Amino acid sequence: MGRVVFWTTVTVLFFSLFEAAILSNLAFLPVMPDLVMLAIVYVSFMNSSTTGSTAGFISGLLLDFLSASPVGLNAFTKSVTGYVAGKFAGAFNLDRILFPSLMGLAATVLKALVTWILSIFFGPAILSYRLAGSALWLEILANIVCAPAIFALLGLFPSLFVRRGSPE
Amino acid sequence: MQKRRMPIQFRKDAFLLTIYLLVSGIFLAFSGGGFVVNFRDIGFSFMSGAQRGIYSVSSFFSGTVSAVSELSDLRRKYQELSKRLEDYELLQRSNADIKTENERLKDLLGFSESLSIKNIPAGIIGRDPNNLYSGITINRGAKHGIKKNMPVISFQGSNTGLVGKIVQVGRTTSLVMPVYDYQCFVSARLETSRYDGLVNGQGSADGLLVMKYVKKRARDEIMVGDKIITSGENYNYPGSIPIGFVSKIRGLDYETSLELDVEPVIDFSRLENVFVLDMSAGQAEEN
Repeated sequence: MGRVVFWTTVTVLFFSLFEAAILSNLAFLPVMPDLVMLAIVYVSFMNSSTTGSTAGFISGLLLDFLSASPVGLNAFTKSVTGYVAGKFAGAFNLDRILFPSLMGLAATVLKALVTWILSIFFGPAILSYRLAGSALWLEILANIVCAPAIFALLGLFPSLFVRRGSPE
Repeated sequence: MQKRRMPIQFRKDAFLLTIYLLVSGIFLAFSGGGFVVNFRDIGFSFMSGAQRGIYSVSSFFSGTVSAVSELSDLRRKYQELSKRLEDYELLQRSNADIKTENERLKDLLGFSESLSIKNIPAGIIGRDPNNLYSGITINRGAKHGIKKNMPVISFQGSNTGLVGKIVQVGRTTSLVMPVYDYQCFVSARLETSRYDGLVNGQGSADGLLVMKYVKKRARDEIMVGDKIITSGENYNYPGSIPIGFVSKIRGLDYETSLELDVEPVIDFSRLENVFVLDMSAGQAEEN
């Protein structure tokens, strides 16, 4: 598990810096895809909920340091995402387009739901998505589009992201 | 054997998740407290240092790629122009570019020098990776004298405008909360009618700001296009810094105050340089 978590953390670190330093400066993108979340979903699905929640927690914490969000918000949401995605490990065969897109969609909805629940408990410091706002729907769309590419990219390195004996 | 291991595995992952959620929850609950702020400072310094590195590397590569393409372009043009002796066109264009750049830098320098408050010029190196938050990372930090809550302004074209305030300081980088952030509140005033209110962001860099709690009796004195400036109360921001212009006036019968839609002075989508104001020097003199 340690190897997978290590490489996931390295990859997520790269993705988060890529998002913060490059993607966020592209004015034509109304929202950014959550590449970190998609990577967590892939790793969790290919391994287990233990690996998923651990990778999600560490990656989320790293992301917290780059964002104006309260410390712990990304760690919380990514841990839950990793855990839930890991529960589906090996439940179905992963194709190239459809299932990655569906998982991107489900993970974004889960993130929005967890953020909303946290905003109830922790107050206005936690911003939640508004159903009437465009941010949620655009992010869902962006994640649906990007999920197959991220899954395909990470799938090129099974030795780094898949634990031996995992339900591949 | 298999039957006995399954529940243990389940307990292990659920136990780990509980620990992670507990730790995240503790961070969230105490994110305003001293312990976590210090911890966050360390993390922010590390991560934004890496971000700065990535930005430098990407700038280097984009610069190199541009330089290479420019070089091949120049070579092609040189061959053409040496035949036709028309290289003055290229020189003219380069001169115009340099002149424009020079004028822009001169404006910024002039603006920096014209400010009565001590200021620290900074460049933007990154923006928030989370779509719900709007932090802007700049390339100046504690090492350059930046402290938490310092106001940030900018100069665009011939307009000066409020950008936001510093919310996180690393060693060489800082995080700015822009005025369009949901959590940013600025005590403001209408420049002509002098009515006070509170300007709040709506979360989008391209969207409008909202000025709330403006007295209803001000309805007849406010016009679309009126300028809104900082009121300077509580020393959070210096007074009279432009924030935006009134674009719509809303007032419902059952409410006691007006709400104004505000078009920001600053175009945040093309913001490159900012000035962090050190108001502590002025306050120390006043005291």
